[in-house]
Amino acid sequence: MSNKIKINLKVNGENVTYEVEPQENLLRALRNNFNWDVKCGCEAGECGTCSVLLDGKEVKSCLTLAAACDGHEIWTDKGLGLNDRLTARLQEAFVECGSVQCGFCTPGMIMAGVEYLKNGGKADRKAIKYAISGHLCRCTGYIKIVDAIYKVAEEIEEGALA
Amino acid sequence: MSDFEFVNAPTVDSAIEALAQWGNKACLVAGGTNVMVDIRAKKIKDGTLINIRDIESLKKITYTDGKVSIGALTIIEEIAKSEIIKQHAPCLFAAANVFADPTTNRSATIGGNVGNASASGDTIPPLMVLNAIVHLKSKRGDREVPINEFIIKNGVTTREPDEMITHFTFESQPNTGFIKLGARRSMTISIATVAAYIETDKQSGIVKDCRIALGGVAPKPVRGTNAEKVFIGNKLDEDTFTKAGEAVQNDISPRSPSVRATASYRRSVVPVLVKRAVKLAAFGECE
Amino acid sequence: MKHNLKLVGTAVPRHDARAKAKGEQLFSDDWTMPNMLYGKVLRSKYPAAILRGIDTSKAEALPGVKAVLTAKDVPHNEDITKFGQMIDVGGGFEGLYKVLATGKIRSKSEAIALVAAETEEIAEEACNLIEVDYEPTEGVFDPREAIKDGAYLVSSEDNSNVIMRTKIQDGDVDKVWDQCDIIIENDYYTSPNDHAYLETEGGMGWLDENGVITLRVGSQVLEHYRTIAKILGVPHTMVRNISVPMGGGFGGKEDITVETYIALLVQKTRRPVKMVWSREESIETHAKRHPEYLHYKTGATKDGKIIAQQVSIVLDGGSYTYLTPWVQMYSTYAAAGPYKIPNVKIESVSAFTNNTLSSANRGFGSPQVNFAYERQMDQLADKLGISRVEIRKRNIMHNGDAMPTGFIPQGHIALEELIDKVDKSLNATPKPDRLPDGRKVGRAIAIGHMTYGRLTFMHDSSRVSIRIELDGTVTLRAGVPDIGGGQASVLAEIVAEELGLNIEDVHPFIMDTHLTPLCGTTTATRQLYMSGNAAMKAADVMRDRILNEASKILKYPVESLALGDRKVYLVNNPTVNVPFVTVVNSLSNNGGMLETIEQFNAPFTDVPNLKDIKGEVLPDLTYTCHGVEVAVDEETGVFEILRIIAGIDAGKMVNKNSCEGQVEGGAVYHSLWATHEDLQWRNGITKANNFSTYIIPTSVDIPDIETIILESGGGFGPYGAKGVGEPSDNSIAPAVINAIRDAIGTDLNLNKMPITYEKIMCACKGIKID
Repeated sequence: MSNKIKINLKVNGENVTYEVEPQENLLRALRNNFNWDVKCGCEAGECGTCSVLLDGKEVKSCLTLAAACDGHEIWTDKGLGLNDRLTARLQEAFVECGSVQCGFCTPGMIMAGVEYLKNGGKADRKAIKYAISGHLCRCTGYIKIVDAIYKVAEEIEEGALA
Repeated sequence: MSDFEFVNAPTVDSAIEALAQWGNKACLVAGGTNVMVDIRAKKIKDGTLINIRDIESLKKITYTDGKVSIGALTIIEEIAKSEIIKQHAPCLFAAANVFADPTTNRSATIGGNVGNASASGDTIPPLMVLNAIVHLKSKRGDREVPINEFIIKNGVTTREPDEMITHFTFESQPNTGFIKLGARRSMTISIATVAAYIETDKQSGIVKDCRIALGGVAPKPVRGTNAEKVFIGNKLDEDTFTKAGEAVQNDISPRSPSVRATASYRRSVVPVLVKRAVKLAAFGECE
Repeated sequence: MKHNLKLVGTAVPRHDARAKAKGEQLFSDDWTMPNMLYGKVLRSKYPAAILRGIDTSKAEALPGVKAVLTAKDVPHNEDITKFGQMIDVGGGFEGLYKVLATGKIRSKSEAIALVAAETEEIAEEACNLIEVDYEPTEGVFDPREAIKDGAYLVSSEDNSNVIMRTKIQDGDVDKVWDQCDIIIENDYYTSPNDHAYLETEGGMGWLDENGVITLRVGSQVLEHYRTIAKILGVPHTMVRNISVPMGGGFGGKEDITVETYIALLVQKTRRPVKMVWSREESIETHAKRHPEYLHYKTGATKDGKIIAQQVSIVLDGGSYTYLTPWVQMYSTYAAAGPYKIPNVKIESVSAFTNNTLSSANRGFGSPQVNFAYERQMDQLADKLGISRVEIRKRNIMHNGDAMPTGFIPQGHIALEELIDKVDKSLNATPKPDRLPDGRKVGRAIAIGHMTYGRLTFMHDSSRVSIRIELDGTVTLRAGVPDIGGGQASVLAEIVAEELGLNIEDVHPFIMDTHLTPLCGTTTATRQLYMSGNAAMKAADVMRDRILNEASKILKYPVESLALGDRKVYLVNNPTVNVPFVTVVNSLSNNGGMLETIEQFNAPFTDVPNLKDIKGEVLPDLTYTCHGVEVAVDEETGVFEILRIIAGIDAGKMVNKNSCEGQVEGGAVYHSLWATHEDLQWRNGITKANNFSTYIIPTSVDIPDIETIILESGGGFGPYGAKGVGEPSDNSIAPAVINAIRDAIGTDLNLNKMPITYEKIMCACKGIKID
C-alpha cells in the first residue's frame, strides 16, 4: 500500500515521470532519480547547494515540494551546461578563475550565476556578491567565484557572448 | 505509507474547495520555505498539502486610487523590485530587500510569511505600520481582518482552517521606514526589526501621527504603543528618542534564553533601531 | 630540477575542476548499489550517563530492519586511535578508540547502537524503538573543573580526567619579572568551531566478490583501514577504502567518522550499506576545534623588547583522547608567538569533559594561541606608547633565531617583509576616524606562525607512483586524500613540469588504500611538502631513464639534453630533438621499466620528553601577516570588515590559483570565528546545530581580499614551497579583534570568544560583561 504520486515534469530537457511521496522535497526526488549534481548540504534552505532552475528561476530544491512540480520544467547545472551556451561559458570561467576547490558548492553557485547573468546582471562585484549570498562556501572565501561571474558578465557587456 | 496527502490547487476556487474538504488537516504550500523546513523537522507530521504556488491571479501588485494591493502569492523578489512598493510602502520595500537571501526570495511569498506568523517574520512589522488589511477567502465567503488583529501568537493567526489569504491592501504611506538587525549581512533570521510610520507637521516638526511595529522582540510582532505616545506631540530630537527608547521597553518582552541573541541585547538595541526606523520614515535616511 | 618553469607558478587549471563545474564529479553520497541498505547511528540521550542496558528486540522485529548492533556485537569494540603514523609513541599520546558505548557514556554524540534497514525512514524508526536504560550522571563541562581533585570522572577506563601535561621552557621567567617595565596579564578563551564543510560525512560499503569489505568513504586518513580491520577482526588485506574526493575536510574528516559503522553493518548483513549524516548530526557529532582557556603574562622593557612570556593553557579535549595530545603540542610549540623571547615558560594541560569530542580543525592548536599572543602584542604596544607595527618588528624572529625548544627553523622567516608590505598597503591612505554614516573605523595587523609537515617523531613518509603510457601520457597513482585543496592536482602538475609534458597529459588516480601507494594523511598541511616531494622523486627517476634512452637515440650525452614540449631536445640546439613518446616506446622495447614508485621521508627525530619539550618536533613553519580594517556601529556593536590584506610567505606558489585560493579561503574561514561562530554548548548539548543558528560568513560578510604572497623559495616542499593550507587561517582572527579594538578604543570584552555584538556594544559603553 502506498500513496506515492506520479508526477510528469521536464528535467534537463527530457520528459520524465517521477514517483514521489506527497511531502517529498524536490531535492530528494531529483537525487533519487540520479540527478546527483544537485547536492544536499543541509536540506533546510540554508546553504544553496541544492539550487536548480524551476521554470527558469533559480530556487532551492530542498524548499520545494516535488509534487507541486508536476507539469513544470527543471534544469540542473549538469543539464544546463550541456544545453545552454551561457552556462557552459560560466562553467569554463569557474575552471579558468580557480573558483572550484572542493566543488561541492559549485553546481549551486553556477545556478546562482546563471540566474544573475540571464537577468541582466552587470559586471558589479557588490551585486554579484549579493546574488550568491544565499549560497555558502567554506573553501574559497567567495573571491574567485565572484571573479568568474564577473568575467562572464564583462564578456556579455562586450558582446562576446551574443 | 506516507502520513501526508497532496492536492494540487491551480486556482483560487480549487484551493478553497480543497480547504473546505480537508479543514484542520489542510496545509497550504506556496513557496515551501517554511512548510518544507517544518516537515523535515517534524513540526508538521501529517496532513493534506495543498499546492497553491501556481495561482497566478494572486501574484499581482497593483496601485489604484491611493491604495496598494499585493497578492498573497507575490514572491519577495517581486516586492523587492516593485516601483509601486518602493514609492508607496518604503518600509515593506526595505524589508523585502533584506529578507532571507535572493535565492530563497524567489520562493518565499508574502502570504506565506504572514501566514506562518513567526515572531521575526520580516514583512509583518511593515504591514502593521501600514495598517494593512488581510483579505481572506473561503467557500463561506470573504473576510477582512486588520493585520494588527490577525496574529494571535507565534505561529497562530485568526485564519480559520478553511480560509486562505488572498491579498493585502493598505493606503499609500511613503513616510515609512524599516530597519533589520541580523547576525550577519544576508541569509539571516532577524534578531530585531523595527518598522515605523511618521507624520510630522512641516512647520514645527512636531509629530502628528506615528506607528511603530517591532519584530523578534516579543512572542509575536508588536506595536510599540508606549513609544508612539512619546513621539506624538513632540519633535524628533535626541530627548524624544531617549524617552521613546525607555518607553518601548514596556512594549517588548524578548525571549530568554534565545539561540539568536540575549534579551538584554535586544532591549539595548531596540531603542537604537526605533530611532533609526523613525528617522528613515521621516527623513529618508538615518544618520 | 628545471629552472625555467612552464607550468609551476602559473594558474593552470586543476585536472578535476571541469568535472566539478559541469556537475559530473561524484561525491560520497553520489553512489548507489542494488540491494542497498541504509545505516543509522543511535546516539546518546544524555551527555553523561552510565549505560545500564539496551533492549533491541522491538527494533529488530520491525519489518525492513536487517541488523541492530550494540557493543557486544562488535568483534573488537576497542582499539587505539591511529592517524597513519608509522610508529607508536606511547605515554598517553595515543588514546582509546571505542566503537559503541559501554560503561560510562562520555558525550551526547556517543554511539549507542547501529541499525541497517531497507529505507532511511525504517532505520530511523528502528532507532526510536531501541530501549536504552540510562542512568544520567552529573557530567563535567569545563576542563578547568575536570582537572581538579574530586571532579566527575568522564571515562570508565581512566582514573583521571587529565589527558596530557606538557611544557616548553627556555631561560627562567621567574628571574626576570622585576626587570620588566611593563607586564600585560590576561585570560583568553577561544571557542570550539565547526568545520562546516558543505558536504557532510558519509559513504557506502559492500562486500566484494572475494569477501573484502570495501568502503567508498571520503576520509583524510586512508590508513584508518588498519583500525577498521582490527575492529572487525579481519586482516589488513580484507578492508579496503576506495575513497572519494571530499566536499571539504578541514580536519573534520580526519578521525574515523562513518567507516567503522558501515563496515560492521556490511559484515553483519552481507549487503551494501549507505550511511550519510544530516547537517544536524554532523554539527552535533563530529569533533570540533579544541576550546582553550589561556593565561598569558607578557613582560617587556620600556623599549618594547619582550623579555618574558609565560603561558598556561587548559584544553578541553571533550569525550575521547583522539588528537588532543597532538593539538596540545602544536599549541604549546607556537604559544610564545613568532618572537625572539629569552625567557619562556609554557605549560599546558588537556582534560576530558562531557562536551563534544575535540580533535583536528584547520590550524590544529595554532590559531588558539595565535589569538591570545597577538591580542597581547597590541595591548603591550598601547601601554608602552609604541606603534603596534614597531613592537612586532622589535621582537620578531629572523633567520637563525631559535624556537623556545631550541630548534632553529631552517626555512626562511619572512616576517619583517610581510609586516612591512601589509602595513604599507593597509595604511596607504590615512585612516578616517569615522565613515560618512558615523561608524567608527579601526585598523590592525597581526602575525602568526604555523607549522607544515607532521610531528617529526612520527617518522612521516609519502609514496607516489608514476607509469608512463605508451602514448606518452602519464598515469599517476597516489593514495592522496583530496579535500578540495588541489592535493591531487598539484602532483600531476609537478610531474608534468618535470617531464616536459602538458598538464592534461598527466592524470591522477587517487585514494585507494590497496591499489594506490599510500601518501600519508591529508593533514598537518603536509601533502604538497611530502607527496609533492615524492612525486618529484618519481618524476626524477623517470626523467633519468628517459634521458638515458634519448641519449642513445640522439647520440648526445645525457647532460646536454632536456625535456620540454613533449620532446627531449638538445639544450644548445633544440631543433635536435626526439618526441617523448618515441623515447618511451624505445625504452619499453629495450626492456626498460616505464613505472616507478618513490618514497620521500621527512626528517626523523626521536620522541621528545613530552613534559619538557626540547629540540626539533616539527620540520618547518610558514609565516603570515593579516591586515584588517573594520567599521563599528558603536550603538549596536555591529561591525563590518571593510578590508582584508592576507600576507603569507608561500615559499613558491606551485599553482597560482590554488595557492591564492587557500590564502583567500583561509582568511574567510576564520574571519568570523571569534565573533559569530558559536556552537552554544549548554552542558554538553549543542544548541546551534544547523546553518541557521551556527553562523559562518556569506559572500556579503567579507570584503574583497588583497593577497600578498611572497615566494622566498625558503620552504622544503617542491621548488622551495612551504605549506599554506592551515597557516592561511592563522592571524586573521586577532587582526579582526585588534581592528575592532582600534576602532572603539578599549580592550574591554575583547578577550573571550564569542565576542558578540553585545560585548562590543557594552565595551563602547564601558560596561564589562565577560
